[in-house]
Amino acid sequence: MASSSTSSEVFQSVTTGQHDLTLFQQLPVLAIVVPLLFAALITIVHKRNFALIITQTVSFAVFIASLLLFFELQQKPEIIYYLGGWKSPYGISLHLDLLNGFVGLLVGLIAAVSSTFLPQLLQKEIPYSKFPLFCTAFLLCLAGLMGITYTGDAFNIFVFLEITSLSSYALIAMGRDRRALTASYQYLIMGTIGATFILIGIGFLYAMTGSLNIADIHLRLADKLDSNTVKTAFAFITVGIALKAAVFPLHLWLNNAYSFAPSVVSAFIAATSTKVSVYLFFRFFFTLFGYEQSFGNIELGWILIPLSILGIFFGTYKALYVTDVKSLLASSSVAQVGYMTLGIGLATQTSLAGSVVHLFNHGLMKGLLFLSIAGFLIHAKGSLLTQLSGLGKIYPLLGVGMTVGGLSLIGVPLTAGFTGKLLLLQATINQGHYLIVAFILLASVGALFYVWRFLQMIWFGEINEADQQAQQEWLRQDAFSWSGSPLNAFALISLIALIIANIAFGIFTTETVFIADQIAKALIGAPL
Amino acid sequence: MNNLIEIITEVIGKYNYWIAILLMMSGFYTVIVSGNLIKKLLGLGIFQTSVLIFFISLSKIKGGTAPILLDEKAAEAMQPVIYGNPLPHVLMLTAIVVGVATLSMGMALVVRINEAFGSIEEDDIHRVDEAF
Repeated sequence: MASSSTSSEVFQSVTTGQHDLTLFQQLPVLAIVVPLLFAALITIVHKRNFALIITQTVSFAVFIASLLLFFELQQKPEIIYYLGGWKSPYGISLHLDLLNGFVGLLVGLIAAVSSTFLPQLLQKEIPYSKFPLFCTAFLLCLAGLMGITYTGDAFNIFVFLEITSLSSYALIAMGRDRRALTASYQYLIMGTIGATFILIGIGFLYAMTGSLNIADIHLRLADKLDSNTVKTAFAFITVGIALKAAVFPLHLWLNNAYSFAPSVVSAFIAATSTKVSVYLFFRFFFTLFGYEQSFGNIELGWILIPLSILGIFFGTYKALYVTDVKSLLASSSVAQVGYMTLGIGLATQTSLAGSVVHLFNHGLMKGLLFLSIAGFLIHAKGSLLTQLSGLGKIYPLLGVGMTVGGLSLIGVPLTAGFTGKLLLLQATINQGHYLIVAFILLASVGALFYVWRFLQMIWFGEINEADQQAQQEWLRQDAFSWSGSPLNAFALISLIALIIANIAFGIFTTETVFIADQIAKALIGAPL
Repeated sequence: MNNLIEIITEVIGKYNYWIAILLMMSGFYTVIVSGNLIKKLLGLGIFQTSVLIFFISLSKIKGGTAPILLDEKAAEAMQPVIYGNPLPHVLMLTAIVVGVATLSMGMALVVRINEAFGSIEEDDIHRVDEAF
């Protein structure tokens, strides 16, 4: 399509050019639109099995799309999709580079894996009548997350952020405990304030540049970087995203939201939503404002590094005393987000690479941990540590899942969590921040203790009598009981795949580190 | 003295932004201070509305008309045509929809909270929760 100046020419190029696009070239938009459409369809049809099959199929389709796009991005630096064929600064475009592709892959993967656990959830946590609506919210959340990740338009980010947030409020409120309602309400208040802050920031940027396209804003900002309006926009956007990403003082919504949500929702949201928000940090700090503005003019590191360290400290500390496993993992999420923002705050190539690797791997391990808990919860009464006592002996595969995920969370070598932390340590040592180095090591010891708390409970705790009865019942009835988990075949495969992924990404690290290094180079060097 | 007048006219001249800031702060204050869940939501609504005024102020131009294509005769009669930027209005249409959705979602949650806890006062809910 040739670039054209008058509207009629644009229209013509749209009508003629659109037919050249193959299905493959439509993938970026399909990954967003397909879940959105099918979410609506599920509400209309409103049948349980239909909802289940559609949700799983669509989640896997999105996963495959994100995978194909990721491989495509290995060959070319970026994929730009013009929605409706309108050229970049005027229309909305989806802008994919290696960073989005990587994050999109994580979202797709976790969505696909979590969707296989949905039938389990049906048995215990969600009333049958509400299941189709639950699936609608799930798909909307997925569509929103893919949208945030792939879009190249600043206002679009706000819209997709709200789609994600609203559907996750609904998902969280479906938890069994009534405290899920207050948790969801709290998240709604905080999340809306965060999103509105981002909107105000985008408004200031629009006032300065007259553009909403991220790449275009970056170009137009070049000679306006000293203006107070731009700095105000920067402040609003930073605070807004920090609220969404649960950076330390703004993390209060996260704990309850993750603890009381239905278990599959905890897995899906914990592994994707904060990660996507951290991705937004990358996008805004490096691509939109640019490295020089964020870390030269404004010296963001002075805010981000202390807050990250406080987040790591308080997250780890809280995880050491809470009595609920989901709450424990949520607290550890605050700490892990601290690691990622620490990498952003240091803003060297190694630290950014570490941050990106940790973002991806943390999604993998939190997904695995929460899904293992979802497996336990099929038979266990609740997620208190004492209620999970000895369950590893009854369901060994789920126990292995918890163990691999836990080790990965500590950062034991040969598990996924090791790579990111190692890169972060390298970066801090290179910069000579030995205090931070000592602190990261100390926090890892803390992680060792809190992971030990739940591993010790599930492997060496006494088996509750009720659980024993449930086990016997299960051994009699379940065809898959030999597998050592109360999951169906589909969920079993995805759980094993996640366990393997957690180990594989710890052993074969060259690929991920290479990709993360490329991403970091692109972020610091020439943005977009 | 002249300087002072200049400042005052500057301040008054940008009254729309002041209104936006005032609304924003009062909404935010309500969200933080109020213990009643409904009042919190109302504060949130005001907070979001202030952003609408902010965006629409951006697009307003003095003497500008609506951005509608004029037929040739009318266009010749009033050269050059000044018109307001339509884009922020469109963006705010989306933001209004988002605001409505958030508010209704929040209200629905409050109804459920009232059913489960028997109160919509934050203090009462905390008291019930501790006894839990």
